[in-house]
Amino acid sequence: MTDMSVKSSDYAVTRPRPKIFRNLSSKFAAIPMMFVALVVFVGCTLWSLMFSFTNAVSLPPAVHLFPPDFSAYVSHFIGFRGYEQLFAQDKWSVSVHNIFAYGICALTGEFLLGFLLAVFIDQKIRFEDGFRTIFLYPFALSGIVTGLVWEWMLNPAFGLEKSMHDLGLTWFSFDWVANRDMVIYAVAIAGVWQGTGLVMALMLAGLRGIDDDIWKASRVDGIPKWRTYLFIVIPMMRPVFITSLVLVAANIVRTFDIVVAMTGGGPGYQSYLPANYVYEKLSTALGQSLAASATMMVFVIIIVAPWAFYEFGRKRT
Amino acid sequence: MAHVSVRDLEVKFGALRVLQHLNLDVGKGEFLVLLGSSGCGKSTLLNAIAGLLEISAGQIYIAGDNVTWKEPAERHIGMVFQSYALYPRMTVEGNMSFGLRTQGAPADEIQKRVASAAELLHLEPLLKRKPSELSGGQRQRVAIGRALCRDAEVYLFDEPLSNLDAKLRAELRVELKKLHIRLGSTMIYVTHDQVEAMTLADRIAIMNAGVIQQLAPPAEVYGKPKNLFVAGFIGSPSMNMIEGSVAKGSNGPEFRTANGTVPLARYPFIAPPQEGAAILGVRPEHIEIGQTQPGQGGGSGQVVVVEAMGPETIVYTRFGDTPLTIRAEGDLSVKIDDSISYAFDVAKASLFGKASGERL
Amino acid sequence: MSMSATLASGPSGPKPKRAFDPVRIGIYAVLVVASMYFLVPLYVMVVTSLKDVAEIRLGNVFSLPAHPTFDPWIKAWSTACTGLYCEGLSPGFWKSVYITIPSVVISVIVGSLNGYSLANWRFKGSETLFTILLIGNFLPYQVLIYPLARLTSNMCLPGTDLCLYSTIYCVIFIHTVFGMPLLTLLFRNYFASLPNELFKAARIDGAGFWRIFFQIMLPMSLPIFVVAIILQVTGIWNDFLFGVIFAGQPNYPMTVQLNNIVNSIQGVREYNVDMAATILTAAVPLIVYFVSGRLFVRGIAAGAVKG
Repeated sequence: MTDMSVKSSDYAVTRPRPKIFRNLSSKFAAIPMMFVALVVFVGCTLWSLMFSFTNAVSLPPAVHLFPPDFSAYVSHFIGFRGYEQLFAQDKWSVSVHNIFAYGICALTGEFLLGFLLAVFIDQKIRFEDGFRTIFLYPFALSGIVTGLVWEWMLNPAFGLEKSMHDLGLTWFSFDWVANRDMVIYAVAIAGVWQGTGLVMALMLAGLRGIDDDIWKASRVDGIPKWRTYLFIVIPMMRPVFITSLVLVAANIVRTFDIVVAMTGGGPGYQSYLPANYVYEKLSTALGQSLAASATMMVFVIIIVAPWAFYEFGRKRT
Repeated sequence: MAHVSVRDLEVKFGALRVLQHLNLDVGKGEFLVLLGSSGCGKSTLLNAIAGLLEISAGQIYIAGDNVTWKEPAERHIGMVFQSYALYPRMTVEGNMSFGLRTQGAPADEIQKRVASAAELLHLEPLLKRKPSELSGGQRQRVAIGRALCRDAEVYLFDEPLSNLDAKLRAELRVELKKLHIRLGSTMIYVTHDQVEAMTLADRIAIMNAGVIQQLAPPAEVYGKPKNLFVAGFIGSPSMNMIEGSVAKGSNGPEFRTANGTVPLARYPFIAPPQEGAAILGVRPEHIEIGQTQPGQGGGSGQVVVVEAMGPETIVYTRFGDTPLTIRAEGDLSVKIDDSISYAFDVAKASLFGKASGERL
Repeated sequence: MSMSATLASGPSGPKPKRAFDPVRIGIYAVLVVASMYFLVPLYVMVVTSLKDVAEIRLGNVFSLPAHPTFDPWIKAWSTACTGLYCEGLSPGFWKSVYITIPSVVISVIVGSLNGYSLANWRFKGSETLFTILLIGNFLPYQVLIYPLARLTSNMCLPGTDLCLYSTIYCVIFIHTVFGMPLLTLLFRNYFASLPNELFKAARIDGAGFWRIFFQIMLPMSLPIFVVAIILQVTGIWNDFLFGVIFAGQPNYPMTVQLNNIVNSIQGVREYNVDMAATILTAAVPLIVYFVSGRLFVRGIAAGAVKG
C-alpha cells in the first residue's frame, strides 16, 4: 500500500511575498489619501500647534488683508505666554463672546425652526416639494451672498427699517447692524436663514425613517398626534438629533464668510467671530493667530469628542 | 347577529380598486383568518376594518355599531402588527399602559389590566425591560399584551408571526390558540401561511385579487375547495390537476382523459353533472398505490423521484403526460424507475369546470 | 337570519371632511409665513436689480420696478469695479469655472477611489487613515491655512521658480484636499452597501482592483457620482476663503470679486448693480439646486448623517 503521508521534503521552498506588496493596487490608489491624512491633517495641525507657542510675526508687517501676507517671519518660542497674550486681547474676547452668542442663537433657531418645518411638511400636505425647495435654497448660496443679502435687508437706510417707515410706521427701528451689542444677533438672523434648510432636511429624513406601524399603533391606542410626536417619535429620533447637532455645531465654529460680507467685522470689531480674528492676525501676528486657531480647534474637540466616543466607542464592530 | 360586519366595501389606491363589493360577517368569539399571497388585499381589508385607511364606499360594523366614520381608537379594537411596533423608549409596562394613561384611565384600572395581560402571556418577569432587551418572540407577546390591555371587542392581527423564525412561529402559534380558547374574543388574523390558517382558524377567508374566494372552516376549504385557485393554494404538496372532460358513460358520469377513464359515480356533485371540459383535482394522500379496484379510476406510471420523509413517503410519478404526486404512509419499497399502479379516491376528489374554474 | 336588512342605515363610505379644518389651516399658515422669511430677501434682490438708480434712492424696497431695466446686470457683468480693474464679474465667472471643473473632477475621482479601497480592499492602517480623514473634516480650516500656504510655497517644480502657491493649481489642490473626507465617506458608504457577492464573483472570475472598479463598480454608481458632483460644485463654487488665499490675485473666483465689488466701493453705493452681481454669483449653484431637486437633498443627508 502506498504511503500517503507527507514528508517534509515534499514542500516546495518558496518565499512568501512580503506583506507590504499585498494589495498593492489599493495602497497605490490610496496614496493621495495617505498624503492628505498624514501630511496635511496630522502634519499641518502639529506644525500649527507648535508655532502657536511662539510669537511669530511676519516681516515687514503686512499692509493688505486680501490675500494675507505669508512672507518671511521671525519667531521665538514663548510657550503659553502667547496664549496669555491672546486671551488678553479685547478683539479675541469679543470674538469668543460672539461665537457663543451666535452659536447658541443659530443652533436654537435652526433646530427649532428646522424641526417644526419638518414636522409640518410631514403632515401629508400639498406642495411638499415646493415648500422644501423654498426652505432649502439658501443652503445652495455662498456665505458671501447670504451676508450681502442680509446686509441690505437689515440696513436701516435701505432695508427693513426704511420700508417700515415708508409704510408709515415711523416709530419702527431696527438698527442692529450698527449697534455694538446687537450686531452679532443680526448676523445670527442671516445664519439661521442659511442653515435651517439643512436641519429641516435632516429632521425630515429622520421622521420618514420612523416605522409606519408605530403611527398605526398609536392611532389604535388613541394617542393624539402631538403626544405621539413628543413622547414617542422625538425619543426615537435621538440619534438623528445628536448627530445633526454635532455636525451643525462643528460647522458653526467655522463661520467666516457671512461676517466678511455682512458687516466686515464691524462696527469696529464687534461682530468678529474667531475665524475672522484668526484671519486678520495671520498677516500681522502669526503666533497669536495660530494660538487662536488652536483654541478654535479645542472648541471643536469639545463638541465632537464626546459624541465620537459615544457613537463609535461602544458599538462598532 | 354578526359581531363584525363589512358591507359592500370598496377601497381605492388612486385609480386602482383594491377591494370592491366586499362583504364579510364574523361571528362573536370567532377566529377568522384572512389568507392569501402578497397583494391579494387581506391587509387592506384588515386596515379598513381598523379604520387606518380611507374607504371609498361601504360600511363597517363592530358589535352592532356603525363605525365607518370613527377613528381607530373609537372602534373598540386591539391590533398587533408584523413589526411589533413597540414604543422603543418605554418599558414593557409603559408600552402596554400608554394608551390607557393617555385616555386618563384610573391608575388601579390600568394596573389590573396590565397585570392580567401579563399573566396571560407570561410577561411578568419582563415588565420593567425595554423592547431592545427582548427577543423577537418576547416582543411579539408584548405587542399582543398591549392590544389585550385595550379590552376590545375584536382583536386584529396583521401577519404577527412573519418576522419570527420557524421554531418560534410554531411556539407562538400554539400560544395564540390557547389564548383564543381562554379569552373567547373575536379575532381577525391576516397571514400568508397556510399552516397558521389551518391550525388557528374557525373559518378561513381565502383572498385573491381583492375577492374572497371561499369562506369556510379549514376542513371544508381543504376537502371541498370552491374553485381552482383555492384548490391549488391550500395543501402541500399541492393538489394534482388532471385535464379531461366529463361525459355520460354507461355506468353514470365519468371523467375521460387521454390516459384512461375515471368513473365519477362516487363523486359528490353539487349540481347535476353536465358534459364539458373539466379538471379533476386529487390530493396526493387520496391516491393509493396498488391495483385499481372496480369503480375507481387509476393508472400506472414510472417512478421519477422518491422522497422518504420518515412518517410518510412522497412518490413523484406520471399519469400519462401529467406529473402526479402521491403521498403514502410509512416506508415504501419503491425505487426510481419502478413501475407502479395507483388508484384515485374519487369521493374525496374535486372536479372543476375548465372554463369557470368553479367546483362542479 | 337576514343580517343585511338591519344594517342598511347609518354612515357609509368615506368620512366627510370639514371644509375648514383649523389644524390644517394653521399648518399651512405657519409654512407660508416661514416661506416669506426665506423668499422675501430673494424677491428684494431680484426686484432691486431691475430698477434704475433714481428709483432706488426714492423708492420703496418692496415695490416692483417702474421701468424694469437690465442695465445693472450688464454693468455688474462687464464694467463694475473690483479693486483695481473695472471689468465686472465676467473674469471672476470664468475663473470660478476654471477652478470648479477640475476641482470637482479630481476630488470626485480621488474620493471614489478612496471609498472603493476602504470598502473592498482594506489594508492594514486603512481604517486609521479613514478616521484621520474624518477627524480632519471637523478641523477648522484656519488651523491649516498657514502651514498649507507654507507647504505649497515650497512645492516647486525642480529647477524653476514656479511654485504651487498662489496659482490656480494651488486652489484646485486645496479643494481636493478638503473635499476628500466628505467624498470618501460618501463613496465608502455607498460601495459598502452594494451586495458583496458581486465583488466576490468578480474576484473569482479573476478580476483585479482596477478592472473591478472600472467595469463593475463605476457603471453601478451613477447616482452617487451625481450626488457627489452636486455637492462639490455647490461647495467649490461658493467658496471664498480658499479662493482668496490660495488662488492668487489674477485668479480670484466670483465670490471674491463679488465681495470686492460690493464692499470696497467708496462713495455712492449702487444697490441695483450690487444685487445683480449677487444674483449672478448665486446663479450657478442655484440652477444646480433647482435642477437636481431630490438628489441634492439626498446628498446632504447622506453626507451629513453618518452611515
